[in-house]
Amino acid sequence: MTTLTENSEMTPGLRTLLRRLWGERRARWCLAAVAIFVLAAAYGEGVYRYAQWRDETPGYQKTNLSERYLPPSPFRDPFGQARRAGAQTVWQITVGGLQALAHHPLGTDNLGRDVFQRLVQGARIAFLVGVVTALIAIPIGALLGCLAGYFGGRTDDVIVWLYSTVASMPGLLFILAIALVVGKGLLGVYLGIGLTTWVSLCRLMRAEVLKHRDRPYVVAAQALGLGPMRILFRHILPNVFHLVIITFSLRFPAAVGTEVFLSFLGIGVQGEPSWGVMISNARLRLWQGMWWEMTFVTLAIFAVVLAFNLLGDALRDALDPRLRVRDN
Amino acid sequence: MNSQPLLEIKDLQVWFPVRRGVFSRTSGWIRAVDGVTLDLYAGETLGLVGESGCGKTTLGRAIVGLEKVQGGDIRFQGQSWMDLPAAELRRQRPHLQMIFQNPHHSLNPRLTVQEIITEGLCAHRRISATERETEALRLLADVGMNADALYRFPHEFSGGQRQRISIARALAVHPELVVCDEAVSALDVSIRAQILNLLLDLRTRHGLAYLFISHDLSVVRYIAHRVAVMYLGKIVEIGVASEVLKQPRHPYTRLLRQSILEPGRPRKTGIVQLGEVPSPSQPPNGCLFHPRCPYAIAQCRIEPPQLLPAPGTPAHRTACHRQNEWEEKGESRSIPLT
Repeated sequence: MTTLTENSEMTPGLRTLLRRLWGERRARWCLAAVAIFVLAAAYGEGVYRYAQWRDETPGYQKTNLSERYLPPSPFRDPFGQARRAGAQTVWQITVGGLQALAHHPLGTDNLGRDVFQRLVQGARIAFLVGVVTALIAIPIGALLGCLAGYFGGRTDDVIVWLYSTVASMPGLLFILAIALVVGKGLLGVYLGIGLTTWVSLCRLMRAEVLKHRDRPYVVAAQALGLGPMRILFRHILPNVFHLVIITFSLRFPAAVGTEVFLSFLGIGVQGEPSWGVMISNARLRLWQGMWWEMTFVTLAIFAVVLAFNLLGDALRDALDPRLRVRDN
Repeated sequence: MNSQPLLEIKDLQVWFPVRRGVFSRTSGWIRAVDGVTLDLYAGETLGLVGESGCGKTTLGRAIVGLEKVQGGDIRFQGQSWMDLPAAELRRQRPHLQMIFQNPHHSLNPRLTVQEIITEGLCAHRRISATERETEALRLLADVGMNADALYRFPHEFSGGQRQRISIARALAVHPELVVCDEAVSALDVSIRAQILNLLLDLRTRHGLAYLFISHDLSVVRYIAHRVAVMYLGKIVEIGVASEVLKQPRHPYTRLLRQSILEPGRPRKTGIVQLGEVPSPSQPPNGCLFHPRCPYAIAQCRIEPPQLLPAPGTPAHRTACHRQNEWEEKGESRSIPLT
């Protein structure tokens, strides 16, 4: 029986999955990038909550008109600054220079607000939007897709009609309508994106479940007398679950992008520095040579989108037992 | 054999609609199984043979409850399954199990072997989650596999081993009848013998009845007590295996038998293959076999023959108008050609 307990590690769990991902170099980079993103979001949330609790203006909102349009600190000759401020010894220059480097490391915007802190807040909002919209869209899409694919007939007709109707409406108009109903702000963004993006997953799931419905392993489960829900969710769903993961990793950056776009249009996040708000702000001064705000926001979006896409690929490979080499 | 059959099938019909056009109107029916009557007794193996497309798989699936039945009756242990509500039918399903042709597709690739073979027991709440491992071990030993298979996935096994897992899954719920749908056709010849012997062994140990569907007469001869020959959704000949296969009374069975190649027996060149199987959506009038039958007479084109017993042997029944005209000519038997 001892061999059995050793072997029980073969059942795939979260830990083995992560270990498997970690074994691949590209996936490791992506995991690291996503981890940094999540940490930044968590830190941003902390700062936001703390300021709310203390009932004071958070650091990222503090304006300082004497420090407007500061470029990123490495471009401000930090060590020269320290010397001019009166530092004599090498030690004093180093310390003073590092202090100057840490002061507004990514520069400031038109009101003297710190770009770095606002970027972190943007990560927080992007994370919220990505997760919440996925939490709305994925269950709807997966559930309806499964039901339509497995049961067919009338159920299928109704669900196909529903998603065709939703898909035929221009997404942006739908989001605008929702924003009008629930008011501008994050809630409108969540609902708008969440309620329009389940269609693609639903379609994919339906087609895939349809393909699996007549596979002999499903027929065998039916012959055993299992109920339709058990067959659908225990037998078929794990076989099509890679679609959910891939959709999540693709929807997440797309949702971030939509949020950026909506905030840029002014119907998105209100009063908080999301990446969209920042881009919308920065675009006005880009031609004056204030490149840093736009650059860092774009880089952040780029990194997050790329990391999630690559991670989605790696996850799909890691989740497919046929591609897996036994690791003991 | 007991007087009460385990499974009684009366005039079973499974028709598939042919849909055409924009509104998918039903324009015709494919009569995959058209009026089959069968009895199967406990512990007995009935071989079901016929060429591909004759409806033998559909019949097997209909018995297990996987096909919508158009008409007729399926009685299991005297109780009709046709008017059972869906939930009750699901509860009865374990009595009849099925082993599938292709072991590469019939096992869920995402479940471990333990989960696959104990799934039925768990779903019907016959065992608790803690008993899964011991039960799975017992079942694996039953089909001659090692305990280290328990937590591995189907793709890690060979075809023969997968078929053993598939058999273990069917046996887990203690069925009385197992429908083996071409259970050994996809396997290597050497593995085939092992699996056949395993099936024979399980039959004696658990008192199982098999409905053994195959197109391979040599396999059926090895395992079956009785044989039924299907042609275009109907049974054309049924009887004790040795009689049906040694002395077939239906020209179609004869044709099938001649397709077996055997070492030491010269290939017969008596009846040549005559044409294709007619479409089951437009079956011919009269005897379904008459377009291909070398012995067909005028009566065969008009009147469908009944499944009638041979004079000496009531268990051996044949649907042929000329079944009593066979003439012994030394080694070979034939009906005078008209």
